[in-house]
Amino acid sequence: MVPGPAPAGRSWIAAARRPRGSAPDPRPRTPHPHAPALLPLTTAVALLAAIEAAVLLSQPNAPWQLVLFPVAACTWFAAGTVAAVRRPASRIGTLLLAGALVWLTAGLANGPYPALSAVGLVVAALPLAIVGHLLHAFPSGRLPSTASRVIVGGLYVAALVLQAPSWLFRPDGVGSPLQIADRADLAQLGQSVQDVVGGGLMLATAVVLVVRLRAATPAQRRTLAPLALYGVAAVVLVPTLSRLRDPLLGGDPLVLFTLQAVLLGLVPIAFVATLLRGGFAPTADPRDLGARLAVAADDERRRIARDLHDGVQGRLVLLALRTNELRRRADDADAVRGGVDALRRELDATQDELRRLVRGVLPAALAEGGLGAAADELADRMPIPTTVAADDDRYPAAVESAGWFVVSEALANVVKHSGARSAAVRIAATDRGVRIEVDDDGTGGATTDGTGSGLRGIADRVDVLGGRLVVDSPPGRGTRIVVEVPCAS
Amino acid sequence: MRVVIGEDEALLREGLALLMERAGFTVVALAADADQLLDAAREHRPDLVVTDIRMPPTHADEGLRAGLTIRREQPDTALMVLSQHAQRRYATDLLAERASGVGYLLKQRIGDGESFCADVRRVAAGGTVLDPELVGTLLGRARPDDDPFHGLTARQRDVLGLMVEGRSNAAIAQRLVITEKAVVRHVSRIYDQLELRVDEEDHRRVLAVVRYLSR
Repeated sequence: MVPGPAPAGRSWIAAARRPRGSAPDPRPRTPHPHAPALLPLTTAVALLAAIEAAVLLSQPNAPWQLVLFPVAACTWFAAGTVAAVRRPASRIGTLLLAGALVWLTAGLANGPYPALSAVGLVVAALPLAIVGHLLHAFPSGRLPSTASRVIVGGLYVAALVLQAPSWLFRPDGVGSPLQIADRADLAQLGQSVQDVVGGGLMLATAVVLVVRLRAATPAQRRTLAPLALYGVAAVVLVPTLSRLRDPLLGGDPLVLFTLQAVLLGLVPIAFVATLLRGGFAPTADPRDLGARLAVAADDERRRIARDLHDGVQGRLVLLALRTNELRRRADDADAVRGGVDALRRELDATQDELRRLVRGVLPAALAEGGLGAAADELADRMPIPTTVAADDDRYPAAVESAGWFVVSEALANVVKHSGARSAAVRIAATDRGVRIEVDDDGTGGATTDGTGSGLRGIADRVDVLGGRLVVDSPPGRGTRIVVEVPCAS
Repeated sequence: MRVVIGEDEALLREGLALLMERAGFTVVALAADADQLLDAAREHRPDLVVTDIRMPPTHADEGLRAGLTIRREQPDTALMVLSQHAQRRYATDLLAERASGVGYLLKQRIGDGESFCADVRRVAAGGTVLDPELVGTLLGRARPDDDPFHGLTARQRDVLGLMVEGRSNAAIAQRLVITEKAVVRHVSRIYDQLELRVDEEDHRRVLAVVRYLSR
């Protein structure tokens, strides 16, 4: 049950799912890039929010609802901090923190200072764009496809550029310094254009999200669909409610505003809750990934050094000892002949040992015959019947190396954990690169969490090359590992 | 017996030439890469080509490809390929067109000069030689429980292994210290058990059995 083809560009869900309730990764995470700044930043934001609240409320006849701006800023900031600390590899935290600052700025629009008020007006529609950005970039914080980048770009343009008529042509609050003419009709027109464009972009967003959800596993869908729904609804409802203000809410703009602020203010909580609840492993941050790969490479080197020391070096010492003996008995021709024969047998055995070692590190079969030949070699040495379906295609060296590693680790896992009675390896060229599948009929239940890090190693190697890994391992029904690696050829 | 040797490592190349000359072969040319090998074979038309599988420039399987080309152009030439590693795919490629007069040995077998030259002579005479390590891997592959291979006795497996190495019934009998008749009996029981129809001796049967074992 492999999901459909990945959406264009990097997959939204970059790594295999982690089951709920499993222990969090015990390895130390590299901290978020902004971590050292978080404490002073929190203090600063709290102070600013308090000041802004005080300033806004100190105006004559100020409705209490004005304080919702700094309050929203605080919820966004809190959510962003949690995301940054608990999921440093994801950029969602950074986005939310930026959003908090935008809220603070937007709140100024209702303040008594014309210059600040003007700035506030300019960014007033940004929170909507940011929510859209969050939807596209979830969970890694990066925009995975050209479509997303275009749509989000469009959202920011709609929020900033198309916002212009509002502050160019209509005074809001105290006579805005940016106003060039008092043309409420143009402002209204601008607003409508912004609404239409924004609405169209959100429709496109909804389409993109539906496509991604379809490519996800059912469990992932259950986690992500509510978030997608809420996010899209929030962004669409906020301007719509403004339109329907009169018929719906009896015309009280403050009630309407409260509703909008609550809708948008709670968005980050939904995002962060989903991010933390998981259903997908922490995305691979290059720093984290690099650290893991470096550790894996070191472990491998240590293993090789130990094998060479215990196996080959030991034998060579014994051989040297034998030559000593031979020298002593150099006059006895028979003894010499016997000694030389024994020496050669030991040399053969050492050669065998060395060959076995080299095969385990990176087999000659890979460089000479390609991925299929190397997979044959691995399969030949499996303790259970293992078939290999592969042709003679060659791929770039890095891809073949990683592919061999994938097959080798996957088969090792089959032997170690699955109790399977048979296994199958399939390697095929795709129009974007290569696709490798390893199936077994064992007990299933494979995961990429910390224990038995073979699958994690595969995920890391694959990630580095911009590929994707899907693990389909329902308990009791065997395991299928599918890896796709692109080749830039 | 005129030989062309292909090997990119200089010391090994010279050593091999010396070994073979001492054993009575006439080394007519030495080649350090696949192109030189092809040229030398075309020019000198040797009876036998001994070559490393992995050769410059790409260090993949140039030597093997060159050797197979030579066999196509001059079908009477015997071919012995050497490699540091025993790979099933090379064996099947080698045996694919014609199984007579081909051999595949690990390089380290050169250490035992006598038996290496004996194997080379077998290949030159039209026989087939496969390295025992390769045969061991072939026989050692895990098979499904219902595979008829499991029905062979230990003795039959010994005979099978020696068959796949390319040895004649007489040689098998000598190695296992049994009569040639006993070998023939074992061989026919093996064919029955594995449901193989093989009418030929020696080299054709190697191909048939290797194919069977490679499934």
